[in-house]
Amino acid sequence: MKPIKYIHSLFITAICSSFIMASCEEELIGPEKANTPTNNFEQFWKTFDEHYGMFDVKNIDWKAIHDQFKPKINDQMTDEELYKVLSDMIVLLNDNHLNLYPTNGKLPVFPGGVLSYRNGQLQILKVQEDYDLEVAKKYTTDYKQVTENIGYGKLATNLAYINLKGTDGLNDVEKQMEKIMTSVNDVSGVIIDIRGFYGGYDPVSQYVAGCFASSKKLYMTTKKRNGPLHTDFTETAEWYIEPKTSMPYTKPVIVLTSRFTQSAGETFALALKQFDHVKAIGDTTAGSFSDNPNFEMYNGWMFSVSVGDYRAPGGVSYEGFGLPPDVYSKTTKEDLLAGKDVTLEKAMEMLTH
Amino acid sequence: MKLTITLAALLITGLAAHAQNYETRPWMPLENRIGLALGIGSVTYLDKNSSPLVYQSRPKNLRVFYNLESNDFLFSVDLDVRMGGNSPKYHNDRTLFFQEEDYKGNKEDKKFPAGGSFLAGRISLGAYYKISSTQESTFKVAVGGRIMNEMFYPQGWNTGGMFNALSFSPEALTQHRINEHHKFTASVRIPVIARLTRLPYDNTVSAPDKDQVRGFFRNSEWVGPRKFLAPAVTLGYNYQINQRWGAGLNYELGWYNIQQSQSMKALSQSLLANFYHQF
Repeated sequence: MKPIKYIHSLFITAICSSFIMASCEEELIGPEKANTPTNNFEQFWKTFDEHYGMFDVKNIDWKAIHDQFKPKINDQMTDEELYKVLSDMIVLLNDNHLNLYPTNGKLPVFPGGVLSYRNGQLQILKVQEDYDLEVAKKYTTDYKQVTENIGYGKLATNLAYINLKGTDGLNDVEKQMEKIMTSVNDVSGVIIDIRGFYGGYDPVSQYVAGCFASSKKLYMTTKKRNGPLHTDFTETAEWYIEPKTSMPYTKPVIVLTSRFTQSAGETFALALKQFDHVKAIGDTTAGSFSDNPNFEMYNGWMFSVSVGDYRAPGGVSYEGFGLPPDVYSKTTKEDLLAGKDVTLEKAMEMLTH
Repeated sequence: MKLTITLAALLITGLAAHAQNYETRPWMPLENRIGLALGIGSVTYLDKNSSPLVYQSRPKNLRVFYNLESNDFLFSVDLDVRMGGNSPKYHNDRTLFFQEEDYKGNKEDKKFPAGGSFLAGRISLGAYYKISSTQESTFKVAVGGRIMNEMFYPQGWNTGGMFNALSFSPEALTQHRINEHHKFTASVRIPVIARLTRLPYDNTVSAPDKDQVRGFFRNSEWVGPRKFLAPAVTLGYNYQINQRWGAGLNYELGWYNIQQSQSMKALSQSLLANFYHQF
């Protein structure tokens, strides 16, 4: 047979194969396991087992938790019962970055608030009662919202107020922070409000924090799970804060924190904590530093898992505890309803005396 | 001026010669072909890095292509974009329920679908040599290679399915002419080396001093078929309307078996109708 005939045969085979392949989707992709409560429970537990980054730092026996909850699982249980078991499991990890997202449209996202253990008692803080940007803005003049998540304005007595409630694209942030730093350069003190900063992208927090840095300093080390064993981690990454923009601000700075300050908001606070000219006022942060990508179960529900072990310089982990402020202060619901922001007032007083 | 006239004369001579050839052109003459294709397709994948669920998208497909063909060589440049919704194949009606409350006592229940979107892009450059022994036949074969960059970029609540691969594939293609109007084509290719980028085991991109794109591409490596196996088959039918215009249908089937981080398998199909202009 001539080579061309072989090629002809090859193409006829390819044509036939393509139709066969198209009809064998499940074989080529792989099957899904049956959507049963048992399989969902095991998938949920196994995903944490193979991805959660803080079993050691929190001294958690995850296998024991499996054995504790497994007897509560059976294939006749309802969605509500499964939801209760899974949410009870993740509460034990004391981690504000763990969420359970039922997708049946009937059960709410868990926890739907911030976990707070006070005197050994668990509370889920569903409502933030110590901060309202609209109240804070009343203390400012010429407040500008320059990106979706960054705003700033002038305060009385030659101070400036910057509000961060998340992170935007790094290029946009770099441009806007250059303008902001130019604008606030001549004031005698800056208040950075991160009480409503619920999370974002850490490298953007790193950049914004750098706008208030006077030198280069290590502020955080991170490692993330890279295998199924509890000891499988990537190499440690070192995060440095260093001066950013053409005119970093190095005069007195006060950062306002809350129990609702989370994730990239906390890594921002941790970065600025390295400098003597920066003080934090407010409440202890949420204690959820690590990245927390979403995973899924066979029933379509989703859940987030903290995959990292994030530490302050010196090896201290604030996960689960939160970053304490230098000065405790809390605005109450009654204060806000009266149009007062006690913590902001306290910061202004500290900067002017 | 003389130079301009000389160049113009040469150009006219060349065009006249080309036009002469065009009238009596062999089956694979020197020709440029530029075209646009629109179509539909499906992408099904299971990315065990982040989910045990099979996802499926039915994206719309747009392709712009350019071919340069001579008696001995064929060059092609293709640009593909696919966009559509994206959801788990067996849970495509997921709804999330959030209960929100503020300190003023305002309560609000929010429900919204947990869907996502699928975006894929591909740019490829192919070069092929026509096997000379088949030149006068109605069945022609060409062999060559294709350099291709392909990206899957699903967006939603889950990061599964995301990858970028810059690959080189040996490829064989054939054309079978029935008569002056009808022609069938087929091709097979398989990448032998690729610069593959996937999310790492931890499914995150954040790294010191890196934006999200640079954070994603830091997890790239050169791989062979053991880690990136992606054979593809294309079938085509062309109808030559006249010497300038043609139309056709193209079907493409690709299978991906990616073994970087945890495994991802995907099946991609597309059916496109195309129109092209020859000059």
